[in-house]
Amino acid sequence: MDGSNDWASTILVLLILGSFLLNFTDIPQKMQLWRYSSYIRKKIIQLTEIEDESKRKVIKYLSRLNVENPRKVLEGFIDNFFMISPVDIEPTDIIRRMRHLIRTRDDLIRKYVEENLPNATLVQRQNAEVLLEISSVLTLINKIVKHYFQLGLKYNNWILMMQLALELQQIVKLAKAYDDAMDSFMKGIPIGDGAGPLVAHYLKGNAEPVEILKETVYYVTEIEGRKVYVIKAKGPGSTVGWPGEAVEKIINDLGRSVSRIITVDAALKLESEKTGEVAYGVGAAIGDPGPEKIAIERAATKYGIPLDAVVIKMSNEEAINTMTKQVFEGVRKAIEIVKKIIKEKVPKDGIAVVVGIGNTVGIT
Amino acid sequence: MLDPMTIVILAILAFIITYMTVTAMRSRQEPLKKKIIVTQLKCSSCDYSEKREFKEGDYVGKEVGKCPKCSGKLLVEAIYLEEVEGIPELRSAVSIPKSSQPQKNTGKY
Ligand SMILES: [Zn+2]
Repeated sequence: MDGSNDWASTILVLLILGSFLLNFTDIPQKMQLWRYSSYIRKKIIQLTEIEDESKRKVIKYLSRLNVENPRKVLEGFIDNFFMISPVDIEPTDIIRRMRHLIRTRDDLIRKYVEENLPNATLVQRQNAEVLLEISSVLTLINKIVKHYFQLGLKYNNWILMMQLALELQQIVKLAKAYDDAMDSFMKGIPIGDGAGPLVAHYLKGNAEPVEILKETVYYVTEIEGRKVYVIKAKGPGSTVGWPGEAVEKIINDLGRSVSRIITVDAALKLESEKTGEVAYGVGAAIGDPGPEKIAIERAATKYGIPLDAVVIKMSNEEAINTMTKQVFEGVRKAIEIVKKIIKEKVPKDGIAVVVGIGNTVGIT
Repeated sequence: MLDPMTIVILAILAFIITYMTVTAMRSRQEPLKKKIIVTQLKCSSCDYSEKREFKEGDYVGKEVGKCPKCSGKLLVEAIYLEEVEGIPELRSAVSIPKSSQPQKNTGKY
């Protein structure tokens, strides 16, 4: 027997043994489980760092506002203030129930912040609300990831582990985006989602605001010779206001004399689309859980007023972070489109209602 | 003399090592783009406008002083994130949140 023959037979034995191990035992799955779980463990450390970072930011912001015990305020907020969705197998009046729950929660949060930040201005309180919410969301994300990770380990569920590992890159990216977004809210810088309110800001010109609802204002102005009611959340604090109910109120006052309702909002882009692209269509462009959107649709339907939607496209991360130049350029394009709609589709003596939907942080 | 089997095994080993190093390296390099938050100011009466770095307290619509040309109201016209190239006077600016930089999917676990 010469050397090469000996080699060949050893390899052959190893191959047969190897294929037996790979095909008839759990070893490959165990190895995958181990590989994925060590990857997830690393990402969980990253998520925990992000969570801690966000808590530090909130505490820093609150102590700057002379809150006595900022840690206690933060801990009292996280995990609390959840909202249980209304029953949906019996959909009668679900919108009213949902609106009631959303408002109750909003009031509770506002009261909580008011009690703990008695000396802060309205804008500071509104920004603190958002900071607390973001920190709370980051804690929740981390908890959910840990939950599935521990479930996977407990039951040796390597498919669950693999799914979690594959999703985690996106989850961490979103968490990072939320954490970065806190800087914008702390300093009061406009965010991508502010595209709608920014369009409204430019359209209103020098008109004076009229407060129609809590945190919601409207302006009466003239565009292309037509009377235009511009609705937006009241800035420059971080709030989205109640644009749906505001539209409902104004339409109920003006009735059939309104010829057009135009909603302007930021919209999630598809991966292949460019940030700042502007598109228009029909319907209410607003991404709330339901009550605000349906208020606009009902008001428009009641008087048969056509409903136009103009959207400025951006990614999820861009929507919650400092407004980028591309989004800003989108805002410019959207203004032209709104003006064109008013010029072409509203008669000279008609009235148009333009609604800038979104968070108005950093925009009056 | 090396026999063919050793060469095959060595080749496979070399391939695995190269593959692992390449994926590890690819995950490390992230493009670094410098961006800065810009505040654009505009006069409400004439067409004067200027750009400067964002200062805390700025918001769109805020009155920040008088126009140097006609002493009308100088208002904040816009605030946005911009890449530094193109505005040399703002080049001193620092880097920005990481999430606004594109992240590569390395597909490595
Ligand atoms: Zn001037």
